[in-house]
Amino acid sequence: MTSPPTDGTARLAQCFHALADNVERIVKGKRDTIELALTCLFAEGHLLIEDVPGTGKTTLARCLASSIEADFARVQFTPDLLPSDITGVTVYRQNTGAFEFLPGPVFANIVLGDEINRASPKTQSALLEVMEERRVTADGTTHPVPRPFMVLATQNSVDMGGTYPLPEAQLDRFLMRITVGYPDHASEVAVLTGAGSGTDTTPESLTPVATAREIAEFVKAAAEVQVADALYDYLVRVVAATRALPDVRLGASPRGSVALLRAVRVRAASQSRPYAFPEDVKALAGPVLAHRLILTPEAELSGRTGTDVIDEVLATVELNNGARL
Amino acid sequence: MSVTAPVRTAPAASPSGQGHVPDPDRARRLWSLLPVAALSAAVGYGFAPVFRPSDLLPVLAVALLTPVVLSAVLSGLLGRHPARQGREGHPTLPLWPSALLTAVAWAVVVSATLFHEVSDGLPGGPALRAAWSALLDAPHALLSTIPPAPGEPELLVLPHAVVWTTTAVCAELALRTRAPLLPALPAVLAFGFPLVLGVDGPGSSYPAAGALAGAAALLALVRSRARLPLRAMALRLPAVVALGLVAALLGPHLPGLGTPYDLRKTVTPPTVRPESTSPLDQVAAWMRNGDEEVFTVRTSGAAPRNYRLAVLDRYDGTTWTSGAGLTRTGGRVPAEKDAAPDGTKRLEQRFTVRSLPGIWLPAADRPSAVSAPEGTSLSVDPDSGVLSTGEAVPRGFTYTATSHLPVYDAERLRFATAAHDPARVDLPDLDAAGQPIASVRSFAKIAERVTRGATHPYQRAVRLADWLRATYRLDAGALPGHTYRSLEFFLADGGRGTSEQFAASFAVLARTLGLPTRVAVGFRPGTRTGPGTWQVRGRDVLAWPEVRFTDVGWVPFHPTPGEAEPGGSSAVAVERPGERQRAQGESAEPARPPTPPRTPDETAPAAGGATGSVLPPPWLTVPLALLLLATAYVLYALWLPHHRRGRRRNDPDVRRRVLGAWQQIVERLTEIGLPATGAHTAQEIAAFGAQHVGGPVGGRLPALATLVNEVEYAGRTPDSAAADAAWSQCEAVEKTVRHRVPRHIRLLRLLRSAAPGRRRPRGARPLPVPVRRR
Repeated sequence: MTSPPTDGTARLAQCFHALADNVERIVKGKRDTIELALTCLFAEGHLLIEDVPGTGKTTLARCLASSIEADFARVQFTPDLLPSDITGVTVYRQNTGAFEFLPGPVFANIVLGDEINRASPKTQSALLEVMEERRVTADGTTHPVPRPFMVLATQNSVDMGGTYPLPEAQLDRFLMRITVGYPDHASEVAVLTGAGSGTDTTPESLTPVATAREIAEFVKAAAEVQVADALYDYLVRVVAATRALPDVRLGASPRGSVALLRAVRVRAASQSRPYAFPEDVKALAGPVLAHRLILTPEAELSGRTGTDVIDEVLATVELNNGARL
Repeated sequence: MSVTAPVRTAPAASPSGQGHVPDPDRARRLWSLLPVAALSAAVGYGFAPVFRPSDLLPVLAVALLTPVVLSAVLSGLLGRHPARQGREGHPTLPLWPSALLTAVAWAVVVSATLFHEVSDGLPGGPALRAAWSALLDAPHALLSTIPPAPGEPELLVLPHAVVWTTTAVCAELALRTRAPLLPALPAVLAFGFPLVLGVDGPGSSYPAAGALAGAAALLALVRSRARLPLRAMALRLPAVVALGLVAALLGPHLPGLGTPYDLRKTVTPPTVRPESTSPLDQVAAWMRNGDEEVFTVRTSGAAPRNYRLAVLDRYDGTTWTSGAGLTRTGGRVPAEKDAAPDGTKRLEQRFTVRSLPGIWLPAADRPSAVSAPEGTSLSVDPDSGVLSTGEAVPRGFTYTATSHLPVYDAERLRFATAAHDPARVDLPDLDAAGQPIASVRSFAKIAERVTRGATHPYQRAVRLADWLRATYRLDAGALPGHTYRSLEFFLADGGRGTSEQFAASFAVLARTLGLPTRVAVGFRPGTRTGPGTWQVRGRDVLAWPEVRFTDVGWVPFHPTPGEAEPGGSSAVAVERPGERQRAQGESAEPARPPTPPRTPDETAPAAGGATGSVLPPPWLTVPLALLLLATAYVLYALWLPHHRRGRRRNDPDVRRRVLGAWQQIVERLTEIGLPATGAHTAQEIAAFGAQHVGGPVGGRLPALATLVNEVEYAGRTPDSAAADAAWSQCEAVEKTVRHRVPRHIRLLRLLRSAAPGRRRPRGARPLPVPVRRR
């Protein structure tokens, strides 16, 4: 018998769409992108937004942060940024005669890392532990970050001078990499109209529609979404197929499979479904897996991208593994 | 097999509680009695080589119809409102009353019909005991009777019981089970009876087997749970008929078919040993009473030849006797084995016996059929083909025989070789004291001398016959006897004798040469008394030898002076009179290997009317096999999609029915452009369908795709109505696609899809899988 939407699933869907509506008040005509970002949020994954300047990357991240009543921190990554500027620093308190750890901006529910590729690799690497393990280790002491925890990072894909491309290990820690893209004509007109209306159109003007605690509950609720054996099988075959293509030097890792599964569950829940479908896998495979692939130089020279590879994989991997009725 | 338990339930009511809802399953079960009757009829038809149709048909009609009617009535499924109908239209009456009543009905019917004379028309104990006893004895009696067997109740009771039982069991299975082909199983098993009993019978079992296959296919068609529209039925029925026809027509011509195993060879028949006086001993007596009328004959067809009365193939130095093992016959005389004359001439003879001592009945050459008045038992020696009544022939006894008189090709006879038949070459050469018999040596010397220069067996035989005809004189008053001593006297000193001595001398001399020889005793055609009417008297008696040649058979010779066939030759009839001398002539040219035997003329079947399996010529075998393969492939390609669809639609698992409907839709959509990759999700397929099928039909596909996803990935078990709705939608898609794709394209795709290893488009997994919960 079909499982009706559970209370958690229904509430998640309701919150999901309320958040999307809220963000869309500022970020016009980018519903799909907003939903991908929210999927990332409810999967408690990290989001890398990559696009050309001026498309609203930072705005999207700020809108997201403003829509949730949670601790928000922003770090503008620059070449001279130090790891301790992000994670925190231990200072000696003369009055108490003890060392005290001063948490950095990473100790927030939502951390916006703007222009993340402008920091040095050393500083970028400071995020490795906290992104994966949700904790910071300083001077031998481990400090957990609050939950939910999400890193929203942006990077410019064209102006690469003086930047440091993210290492593969760090890219792998982002649940998704998305692009915002230019708005369509109507949306751009709406942006201009809103900007000239005199009303406050800054992201900070948004009213929060959910709390961090609620988001943490929804993260747990999303994990309850049912996944059939056949879908596990399909998902693994999709990921495995990325490792077998001649254009791919390094395919998606098992971490990629896990990330895709988490995202698939959230997408199903966001549609009030307590079970996931292959459509969820197909919809999310590109954003979740494409940035994890390392293509061969020949493929890159020929203009192929990770997204192209994922599209090819999805067009060839069969859903029913050759079984017949 | 699922036999429903007899559950006594209240009459089923419609969901609304008003009246009965027509149950398609009940109708299907009742309709399946029709192919059941066809199956039983095919089994009965299988007895055609065992009995004459005129004897068989009335018996089969009763044995077929009665159990069908009984089963239908006892099942409780008849009537508009069957009061005792269980779930899913199953009969609710237990099986045992039906079985009991069927057995009782058989006893009553068989007593009142086949054995009515025993019980004066009333069913009762004596008739039943007789029927039961006959039923037990019938298999052995039939296996020891040359088919077709006489239509006697003691023998007909077997097909009656087999067909009755088959019909009853098949009908009960059809009414009480759901497996489409299960009711055909008893018929297939029962078909073994006529198959075994019909070996060596006239005709072939292939038509009956084809009919059985066709009836089984019809059964599967009728019992298929797929709701077939009339158009589909109209397509399938000719295919079923064509399948049966192809099986029946091409089956006998399949290469590699061997001789069927004949169970008769393992059964010892109750043979009648001819204990009466050897007819050869009576030749002299008949000659002395030359005016005595022996029998009269009315003939039609070819000109009559000598009538063969008895065949004597064993010689002990004193007497020629018959080794015949007489077997009962229903009228057919089996053809001579390994005999292939170059042509035959049909001759019908109706004999009326006037004064004929002994048990033998005359007939021209080797008859192929014989018929006698009802109540008369006839026997035949399968080896020689001679007829007998098994007891003294009464005066005035009338019977009819049909013979196919052989005509031989001179060239073939000329180079014919002697057959390998040690028993017919045997000549005792030691006396009772174990001493060599001098006569045998002198016979061998004579034979060697007479046949010197002849290079082939047939020419040796001709030389012997000519020499006897030329050297010795016929004397009706000569002393009888054909012992070694009598023959030695005849050959050395006497110079006179009857046909007894001429034939016996020839036989002995020929055996010393290694020619398998026997002596036949019979009569010349006699005196013509009217158109086609002949009177045979005592003086027409004649004995003649016969020699067996490879691939030719037994060939008669006429060493008796003045007693030869018309034309004065000592040899037999050949195809053209002008060739006779050539056949008898010396071999002027160097000896050459014997020519292979030719097949008999198609328009003149060989004696005995053999109708065995005839293999097609080699040049026809390959095209026939290819044609058969192509036909089978086309039938398979036509059948496969229907079978697959029926299997999907009738799947007892509702989830599989939904997925089956979806798979059908996916396969149809591939015909209008959906890539058959198997990588599309249900919603992608639905989107394609919505775009390309369009209309309300296409618009409903996304909802069905959601249902399919829920069934497949969420473990949902839809209700039966949802499955029916899915199939309704499938039918709508099929109809739309059918209108869009040209018929020849669909046919080509159909043929290609049946190819081995061909992948079908896929859209769903076969089974709803368990859902894993975290």
